[in-house]
Order: sequence, then C-alpha cells, then structure tokens
Amino acid sequence: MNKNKFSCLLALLVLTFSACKKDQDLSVETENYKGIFVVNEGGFAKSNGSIGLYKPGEKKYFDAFKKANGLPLGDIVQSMSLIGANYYIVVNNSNKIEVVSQSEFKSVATINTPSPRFVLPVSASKAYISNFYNNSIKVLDLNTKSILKSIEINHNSDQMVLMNKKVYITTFDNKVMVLNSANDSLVDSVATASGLSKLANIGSNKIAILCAGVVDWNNGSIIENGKIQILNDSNKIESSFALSSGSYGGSMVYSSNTAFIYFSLGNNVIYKMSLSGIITEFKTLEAGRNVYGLTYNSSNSTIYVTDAGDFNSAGKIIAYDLSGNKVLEFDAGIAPNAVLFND
Amino acid sequence: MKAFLLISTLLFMPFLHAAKEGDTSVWRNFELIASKGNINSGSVKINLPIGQESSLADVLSRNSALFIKYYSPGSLASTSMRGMGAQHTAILWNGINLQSSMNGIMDLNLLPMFFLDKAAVETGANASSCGNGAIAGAIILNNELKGSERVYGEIGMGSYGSKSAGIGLSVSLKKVLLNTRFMSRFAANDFEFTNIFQVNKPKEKMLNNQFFQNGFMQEGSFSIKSKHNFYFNFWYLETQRQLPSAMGVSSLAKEHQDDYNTLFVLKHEYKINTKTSLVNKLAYTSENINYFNLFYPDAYNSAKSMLAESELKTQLNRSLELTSAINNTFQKAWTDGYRQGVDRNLFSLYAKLSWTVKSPKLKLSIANRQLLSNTSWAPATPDFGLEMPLNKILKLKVNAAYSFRLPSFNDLYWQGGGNQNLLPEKGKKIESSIEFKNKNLKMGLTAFFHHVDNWILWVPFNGAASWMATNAKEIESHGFELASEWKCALSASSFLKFYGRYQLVSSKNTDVYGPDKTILGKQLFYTPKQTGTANVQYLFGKNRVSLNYSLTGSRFATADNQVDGLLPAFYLFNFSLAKDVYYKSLKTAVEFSILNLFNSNYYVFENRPMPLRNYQISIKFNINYEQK
Repeated sequence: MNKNKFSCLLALLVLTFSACKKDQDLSVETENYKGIFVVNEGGFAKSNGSIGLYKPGEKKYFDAFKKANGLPLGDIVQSMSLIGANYYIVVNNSNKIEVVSQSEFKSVATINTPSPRFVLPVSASKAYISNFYNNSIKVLDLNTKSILKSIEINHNSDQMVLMNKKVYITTFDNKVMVLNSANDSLVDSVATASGLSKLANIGSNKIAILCAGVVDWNNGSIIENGKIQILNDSNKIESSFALSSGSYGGSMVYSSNTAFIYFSLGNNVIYKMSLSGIITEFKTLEAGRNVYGLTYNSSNSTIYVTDAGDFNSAGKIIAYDLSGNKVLEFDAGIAPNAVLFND
Repeated sequence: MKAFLLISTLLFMPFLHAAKEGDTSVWRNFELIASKGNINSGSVKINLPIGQESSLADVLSRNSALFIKYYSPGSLASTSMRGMGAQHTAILWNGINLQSSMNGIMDLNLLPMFFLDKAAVETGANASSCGNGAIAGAIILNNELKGSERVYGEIGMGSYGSKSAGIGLSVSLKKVLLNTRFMSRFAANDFEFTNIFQVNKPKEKMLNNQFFQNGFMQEGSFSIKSKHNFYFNFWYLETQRQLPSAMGVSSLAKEHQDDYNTLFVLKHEYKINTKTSLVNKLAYTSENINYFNLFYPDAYNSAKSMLAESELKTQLNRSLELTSAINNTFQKAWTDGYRQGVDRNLFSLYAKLSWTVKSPKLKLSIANRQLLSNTSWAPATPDFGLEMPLNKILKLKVNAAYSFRLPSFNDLYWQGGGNQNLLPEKGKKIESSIEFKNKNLKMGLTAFFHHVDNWILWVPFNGAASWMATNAKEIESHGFELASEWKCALSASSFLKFYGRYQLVSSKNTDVYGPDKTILGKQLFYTPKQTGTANVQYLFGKNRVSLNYSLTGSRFATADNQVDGLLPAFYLFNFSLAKDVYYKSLKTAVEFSILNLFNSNYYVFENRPMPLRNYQISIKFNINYEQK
C-alpha cells in the first residue's frame, strides 16, 4: 500500500511541477528606420496590422512599430503619411492615429478618433482626417496633435487629395466632396461614374478619378464597366474614359515622369493610360498574384505592387520599373496595401 | 517537454497496484464516453463527476483532447477534431444533427451542461455513419430519462460575476415518466488582463463580455403494452451575449448577439418481436441569431429543420444483424445574405450489417449511407469495421470509411461570395486501435489518417475586392491518440482515479486549387499539433480532490505558418474540492474549484486574452435520490 501511495504522489508531483511558461519580453533595439515602409492592414478584428520596414541593402524585413515601441500596432492599419518630421499611422479599427518620429519611429502621440482612414496635411499646422463611419472630416491641429473640429460633409469619407487649397474626398456614394481648406467649409460635390474608388493628382490642376463600375454581388458578373474620369480645378469632370472591365474596386497612381496613369481593377493586370485616354496593358503579374495596392516611387520611377494574397498569410511587395521589369520582391505582413519610402 | 510529461504520466500511472473500488458516488454524473454499439476505435469510456462547467465547451476543453476554439468565455465555441475544422464535427443531440444549415457550425457554448446527461466523442471512422458533416468525427449528446421521482438542482457562483441555477423535477405517473428542467446562467466575464497594446502594458478589465442564458427542458416517456415506447424531449434556450473585441480593436461597436434555439424530438420504439425492432423519429429544430453592431444594420438570421426517420433493426440469425434506416430532413434558412430564404431536402438511406463470429472471436460491420440533396447525389459513405480480441486483455480495432460535408447555405447562396457550383467536401479515413483492458485499467492507442478533398474555403475573389466560397484545397491529417483510465484503492475508503487523453496530429494542405501555392504543405492554422488532458482524483470518504491538467500545443495564426504568428502552447491546471453530505433522502454536494490554478496568461486566439486564476463554488441537491 505504501508503494501505491508513493506512486500516486509521484505522479501528482510530475503533473504539478510541469507548470507554466514565462511570458517573453519584447526587446527594443536601436535601429536606423530608413528603407521601404509597408502598410499592412492585418486581418479584420485580429489586431495584427503592422508597419513593416524593408531594408533593401540588407534584404531584411521587420515590424518597425513593434521594434521601436515594444508594442503591436492594432487593427486595420489603413494608411501612413509623412507630415513634417512625423509619420501619422492611421489604425482604422483601433480608432486611433499613432504619431511616430521619422528618425526613430518612436511614438510621440496617440490621437483617438473614431474610424479614421487617411490623414492629409492642408497647411503647416493643420491636417484633415477622413472617417469611415461618420459623416464628418476631422480637423487636426498638427502642433497639439488634437482634434480642433469636425466638418460635416453628409457622407462617410475615404481617400483625400489636395489641389489648390481644395480638398477632394472620395465617399461611398459615387460623390467627390470638395472642401475649402482655408476656411474648412464644404464648397462643392461632384457626381462621378459608378464605383468611385481612388483619386490621384495629375500635375497641379487636375485629378484622375478611378471608378470601378458595378459588379453583381450574387454571381460576380460585371453589370457596368469602370471609367477613369478627369476632374479639373473648377470641380468639373472634363473627360471620361471607359474601361474594358469592371470590379469591386481598384488602385491607381500617376507618374509625372511619364505622364501616365497606372491602374488596376484588383486582378493581376496593371494598365497604363495616357492623359489622352489611350489605355494599354502595362504588366500582367504571374498567376496567383493580385494587385491590392499601387504606389509610385518618383525618385527612381518604379511602381510598387502590394499583393495581399489570402489575407491570412504574408503579403508580397513587388516593384517594377517603367518597362515592366521586376526590380524587387519581398514578403511583408498581413494584407499590405501601400508602401512609403524613407531614403 | 510538457507533452512528454503528460504522455509519461499516461503511461506511468497504470502500474499502480489496483484494488477494489468503493468510492463515493456522485449523484448526478455527467458521462463523457465513447459511444457504444459501434465497432469503434475511438476513446475508452470515462465518467466525469459533474464539475463547475457551465457548457459543453467547458467540459470538452478540460476533459478531452479536442481543441475547443473560442474567443472568450461564453463566446462562439467550436471544435477542431483530429486537426480539422469546426464544420467537420457533427453534433448530434438525441440523434438529431445540430450543425447549423447556415454556416455548418454548432456553438458548443449554447449547450448548457444542466440539460445534458451523456456525451460521446466519436473520433472513430464510424462517425461517418452520422451522415453530413462528420468528416472528422461526431459529438453525440443524449438525454437519459430515469424512473426515480426526485427534485434536484444546483446553484453556483464564481469569479467575474458568474451565477448559475438549475432545478429539475422528475415525476412518475403510472407508465408515464416526466422530467422538467429549468436553468439560468449569467456571467459578466469582466476578467482582468494585461493589455499588450498599451504602453507599460496596463491591467485592464474585459469589456462588453456579458453572457446570459435561460432555458427550459421537458422530456417524457410512456409505454403501451411494453411493445411501444414513446419518448419526447423539448428544449428552449434564450441566450444573450456581448461580443468582446480583441485587444487593440475598438470596442465602440458594442457588438452583441441574441440566440434563440428550439429543439424537439419524438421517438417511438416498437419491439415487433424478439428479433426485430423499429424506431421512428420526428424532430424539429429552430435557431434564430440576431446580431447587433452600432455601426452596421442589425442582422437577423433564422434556420429551421424538420426530420423524419425510421430505423429497423433485425437479428437475421445468431451472428448477423441488419440495421436499415430511411431519413428525410428538410432545411430552410433566411439571412441578410439570402433574405428571400433558401431550402433543401436531404433524403438518405442507410444500411449496416453486423457479423459476430464466436470462433475466432470477431466482430465485423459494413455499412453505407447514401444521401440525396434535392436532386443531387452526395458522395456515398461506406464504412467498414473490424474488432478482434487478441487475447483476454488486448483488442484490435480497424475502421475505414468515406465521409462528406455538403456546403452550407452561406457557402452556396450568400449574396456576394456564395457559390452554387460548390462540390461537397469528400473525406476518407482509416484508423487502427489497440485497446488494453483489465479490471482497473483501460488504455487505447489509435493511429489515424484522414484525407479531405474539395475543402471549402472563402478566398479573395477578383483580386482582393471580394470573397467567394470555393473548393480551394485538399488536406491530409494523420496522427495518433492515446487514452488511459485507471483507478486504485489506497485503503478501504480512499481511492485514486486517473484518466487522460493525448493527441498528436499533423494536418497539412497537400494541394491548393489555385495559382497561389503559398500554403502548400503548411499545417492548418489554429490547429495545434498536440492536445491533451490528464485528470487525477483522490476520493476519501465522501470527499473528492481533483486536479485537472490540459495541454494545448502551439499553433500558427497565419495560413503560411509564419513564425511571428506562432501562438505559444498553454498548459492549464484546475483544482477542485468536493464534499457530499447525505441527510435521509436529501443529498447535497458542495464543490469549490480553482480554475487556471497557476495563473497562466494564455490565448486561444491571437490577441484574445483569457481569464487568469478564478474561483467557483457550487451546491447541488437531490431529494429522494435512489442510491444504487
């Protein structure tokens, strides 16, 4: 019986002392935050969005925000903008904007604001914040990092571009809203073609508008092809070019070096369009790749494609020169949508 | 290392010397057992004294090698069995499949323990005979109407505002037995966690995480001339719960969900003669899921199903038994994705021939189910079983089977991604077990292999602008399961009991039907390779001390198995003390439990914190208990 008791107790001890694991501490190292930043949205409600940094020389990629601050970033990292000496990282579903220094990528402020999408500087001391769930644009004081006021625009808002002190804002209702940034007032709205998706400045007096068309949600069939429209400084659509297909959305950039608009409707084909409306295929990506975002690097005339893959695996960044040759490829985080360059 | 200790313990404990058991009886056992009647190479039987667990999800996560996936206590809980998905385990309640026709999942947190009497975890290939959705296996839930007249109930309370109460009444009126149960449970679930998304990682309280459920159950039976036995069971459950956000996610949306579930089954057993019996069954299930979010329109989803089934069992001769069944199930659902409503009719025929040979002692079975979904034939699901004693204490079991899963209504019809060209998922599996059994010890070792083709997945469509359900890939899962149970007497009035489960599984994508092959050869994400549990109980007099240990291995949070996305393994200990008190016909039991004894900081899902050490106490009572 003693042998029984001993064996039982020994077994209990084996179980009891096979105990717990210590939490691992995140180490924060000194880093030179130069290279190619990647905005990784992450999966919805998973809080795995990030800002990655790729250093081409070292062929090294890491989570920049986590490394600099010892913290994960949050849920749906929508955009990042360099304003002055700080980056403004918009974390949409965390309802915040993290402000980090350009040099060390350290957090200098956190701005809490509901469902932000993009930050656009409109003067040295002021920026606008678009808003996914709210019909207003927030006005941000860049000095105090606080919200000054809201401008009602009667629509949810998304991407913004600045042209001659006016801010053009995409909505989800096929309307571009126009604000006067001098007095923060709504001055106009412009009806667009169906599937309003993206804006891009063309020089200083025009804006290209990508409209993706209409797709039947039931079966994916295209009901209406997309268009690229050109908006002038008088808030008038001066030309409209039909696309050969339609989609749920797309991406677009403008190259001032070549005066071409490069765009994709979300599949694996990138087109280029001259300002006179002639559209040709620029590049068809290899099978299995898709364009989730496009970014143009004017300093070396390259187009960066972000491919979100299955949204559960590492996305890919692929860069092409303007002849369509691949010049760079690397893995990023979950669902990359854009890149920024800090040379 | 922890897994090694678990396995070592599983193997070491049997060598304790055995003795007669005369432990204290727990008056309302919940049984988590391997099902009987099939030549099954699944688990050996275990009996669990009912603990503080409030839902089936809690019981399975602490007492089986299944990986139970849930964001937070009380939230949607599903199971991963043998490395497969939540939609690949059929949940059968009194023979009725509870998997939702909308999404193919049954939420295990909706099933209160107070309403359940028995559960079988059918990991064996024989689960295929359960029909649609049993690709990995099945969890078989049953109620058992006992003849005793009694009033019984339980009251519990614990950390984070948890409170539960249940009361039952059994009456016997000549040949009519009636059993009524009411239950209610509430938990604020406002546990403290470390917020790793904030500077200095402050301690915060979980918000928007309340759970509230009320339920009513009525079952009854009566006999006519002892040949006809009728049984019915009716459940109604109302559940309201808040849906907490992951760390780092804004909680402004204040998501919450209301569930309303109705289950009804009427069973008629007719003993035609000594060799033939007929079981007829009618059933109705209804689920309403209403989802609320401050930023989106409310979503109202509803599904209903009606079932009629007849099963005829005939003893053809001394060694041959034939079982045949015909089943018709009608399913209909309405959601925001298909507001007009969609439906389908599932008609199936089933036959099973069982052959028992006396010399050499052998049991063989061969079965098949063929299902017709509207006008389309589903894949046939033949299965074969062999059971052969090797000697007095060792038994060999072999099973091989085909299985399938029909696409859910969401997969087929959801506006914006539903795909009516989807094929059913097709599975095949083979397994073999060696079982050891003597007076005080049972052990089982099972090796298994599963192959699933046409695995349905929602993948980005047309770039990333939308998602569509597709037959995306093929997977293979293989591994082994170790099960053990034994007991030993330390003295005339003190006993030690142990039971354990361990599973090692590799579940990988072996083909991908698209140009992007990133996930080829990768372990399925959120699928741990190792899971296990060990339970030790020391019983003395009318007292019981229990220690429960569970292991969940590391698992990838990304489909391409990024090391950065590897969630660490976690090991949980739960401890409980219980005492039974008898006074004439009144029997009470008081139990005190410490859950997560060593205060482990762990996540089941990425960025979803779970409770640290917490406490529960419960009192159960039973009047007019008829002790066996």
